[in-house]
Amino acid sequence: MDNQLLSGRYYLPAEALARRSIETGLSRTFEARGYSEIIPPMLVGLGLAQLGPDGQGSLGGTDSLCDLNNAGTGCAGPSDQHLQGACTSYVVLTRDGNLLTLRSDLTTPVAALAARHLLSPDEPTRLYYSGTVFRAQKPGSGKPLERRQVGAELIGHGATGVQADVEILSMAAEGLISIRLRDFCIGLSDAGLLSAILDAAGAQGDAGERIRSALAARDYVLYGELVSSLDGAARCHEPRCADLLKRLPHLHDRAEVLQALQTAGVCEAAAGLIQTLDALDNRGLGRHFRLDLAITRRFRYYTGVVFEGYAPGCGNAVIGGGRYDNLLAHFGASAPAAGFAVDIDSVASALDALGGPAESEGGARQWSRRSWTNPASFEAVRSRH
Amino acid sequence: MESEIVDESCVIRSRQVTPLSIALPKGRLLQPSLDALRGIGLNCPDTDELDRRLVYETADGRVRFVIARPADVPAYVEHGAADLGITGKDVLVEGDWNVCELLDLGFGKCRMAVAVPAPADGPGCGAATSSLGSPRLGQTLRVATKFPGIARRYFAPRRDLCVQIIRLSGAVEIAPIVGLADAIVDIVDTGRTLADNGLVVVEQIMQVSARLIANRASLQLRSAAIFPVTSALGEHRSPLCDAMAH
Repeated sequence: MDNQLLSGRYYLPAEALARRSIETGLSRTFEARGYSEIIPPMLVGLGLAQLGPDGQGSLGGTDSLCDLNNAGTGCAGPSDQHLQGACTSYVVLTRDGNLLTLRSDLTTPVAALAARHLLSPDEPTRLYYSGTVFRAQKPGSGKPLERRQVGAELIGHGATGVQADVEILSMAAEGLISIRLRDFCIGLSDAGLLSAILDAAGAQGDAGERIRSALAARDYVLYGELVSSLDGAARCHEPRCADLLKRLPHLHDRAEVLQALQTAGVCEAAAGLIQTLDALDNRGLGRHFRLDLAITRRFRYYTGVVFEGYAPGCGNAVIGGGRYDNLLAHFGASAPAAGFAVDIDSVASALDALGGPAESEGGARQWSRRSWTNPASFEAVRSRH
Repeated sequence: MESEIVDESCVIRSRQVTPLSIALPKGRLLQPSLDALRGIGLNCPDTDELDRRLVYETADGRVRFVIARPADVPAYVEHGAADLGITGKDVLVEGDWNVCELLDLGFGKCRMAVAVPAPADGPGCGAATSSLGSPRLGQTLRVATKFPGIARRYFAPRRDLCVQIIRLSGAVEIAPIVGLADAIVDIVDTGRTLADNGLVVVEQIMQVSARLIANRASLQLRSAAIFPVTSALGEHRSPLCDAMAH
């Protein structure tokens, strides 16, 4: 009868040490750039959770099935989809009957705290944090319910424009470099850019929403079908735009993307992105960035640049983030903001796959699974931190 | 920063050695998958070879094939054990997979449908919906299926039905015969298996076909290796479909 399950994510000493190293490395990079640590609450109100993740990947399957339902029986409205998708937060019932949730992202509570306590009228607030987020997963998927993240946010006056985007993106890349993750690649897009392309191609309202959610689910087959069906409807619009939309998921070469973006109604929206990329080039970080117009983050709050990065050896994104200029308005302060979070487990498995730290330099040899079984070497490592 | 430059050659070398890994589905989709890959010039093993070995690497070491159950292919791809995979749309809809669906390969076409025992007096396709029963009559419709997720989502908006879903892992057709269920949700190809077991399709849920899927990280990091395969498969798709039709 006793429920003694240890159902959350836990780390035994060797793994804990690896995580701690990563977190310490990232924190140092952020601190060196003038970011201060903040510790947001674990429990947040239901309202905050609703601003967070919007549908956790299941969107595609649900949608395509609902399309068929609509065609066949005329049921399954968007509200049903929303209910199915939204059940990713854990809800806690307090003793006085209030509903709270375990935080499912860190950006929202950090933004709420900044809006309430930390905004300054003449300079941006620079914050970093580390902590666990909780997301309900499908049983048996092997995805952890708890994920450790380290992230940073640049919020408030002046946290706007290319300069702020570059500050966040270059710190993200330098953070990953500082923990000796190599060969990672961060894909960049812009939340407004997709809207501009959809508008220019004549995909308004419902059609646009469907295309967007097919893209979010990375269902390029459904995406292709929706875009083709658009062709007939939008005769009068720019043909180059329809073409751009069609090729969008498969554009990866930078020159090709830049050329495709030279289209009326789209190039204005892309200007910031291109400047950002140039600035990153100038800082010598260009090889870690590429344009990927198909990026649509799961979070609804992004308004400008959005990005996610991958590293060899890990199927999940190691980093994700973007600009969210409208989020703070929910907390009574209107201020621009941008930030990112690094997924510690993904970074750890990418580092493992590199075989890197254990081989490349003596200082990190403690990361290998075997060495901690010798208590002396373990202690030696502890004392070094 | 400094040590990163030193190690770069080492990283590039390891990347060249790593083969592009493709997860292929066992069973009815295996042969057409191999045909499709052979059609774009990949040096594929034949099915006999793959019966013996579940992992097969081409002689030049550039491509590795992993054979898995169709329902497991997305797991291999999602976790990065394979860069690309081929599996049915049914599997992708059933699971909540974080993979990119790149192409409809055009083969393995069939449909996901609801089937019930045929009425004694001839095929009752006309009275399709009514044959699923009604909660007002105090009946719960028991549905046996390998796809509980698809069945649940399909029946959820149906106010006219009260459904209980029973998950089976194979031979779903016999469930109505032995009284385990009133209806089944399953893949229907020619419909012969259904007919042999006295079942008729009453509602179609969706069309399914084989899809090419990709790991999200691989798509970013190994696009140079993946995109030739994708575009070649995309171009070969149409003649391939015609060939299947004959």
